[in-house]
Amino acid sequence: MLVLSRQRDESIMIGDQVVVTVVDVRGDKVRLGIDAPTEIPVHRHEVYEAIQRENRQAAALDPGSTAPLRPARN
Amino acid sequence: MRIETAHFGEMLVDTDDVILFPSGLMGMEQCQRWVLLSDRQSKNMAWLQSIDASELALAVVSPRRFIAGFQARVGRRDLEALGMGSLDGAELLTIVGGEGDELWLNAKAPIVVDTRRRVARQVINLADVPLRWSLDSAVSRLRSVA
Repeated sequence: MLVLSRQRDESIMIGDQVVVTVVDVRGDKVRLGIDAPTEIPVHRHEVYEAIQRENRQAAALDPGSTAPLRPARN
Repeated sequence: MRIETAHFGEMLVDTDDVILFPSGLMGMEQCQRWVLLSDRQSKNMAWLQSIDASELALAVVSPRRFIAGFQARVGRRDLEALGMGSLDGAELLTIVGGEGDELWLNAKAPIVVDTRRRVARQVINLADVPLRWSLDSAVSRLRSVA
């Protein structure tokens, strides 16, 4: 991992399209501003990982388990 | 065109039916071309089938059919990426997950489909909803109606 120290209002460039700026530092919380084209999704890491896990789990769902979603026969 | 599916063998689909996900799904960014296949036994659900990875298919439902008052709030970035100003006119789908006897919907990362342009995106729902919205009560209500 590349580790850089930045102060408030300083930035980092990632590639030629992404700029990360330290907007505010308060205690142990950092506010980051991200400038990136909308085609590049930006997510909190843990949120992305959780959804990635859910997507993979859902992809392994057996079609038979979806039986409760089908109308009951009369 | 002929496609191989995860659960339905080989199928013939129209190229007009292809839905493009320019960012794929989270964790599946390379899978950008999908089709929505009806479930043979239920009009309440469908299968989002990947064309790029034939073994990949996800059960999806319209969340409002199962969850009364389902709230979806999408950030500007997600809407811009879709080329939409708002969710008006978009179709909303949620992915079905489950384990054992349990079924749930991913309410936190629904899929927004611009049905006219055949473009879609998995977005983050900013409303206060869980990642797994249990379907138990919704399903028993559905079964009694049917």
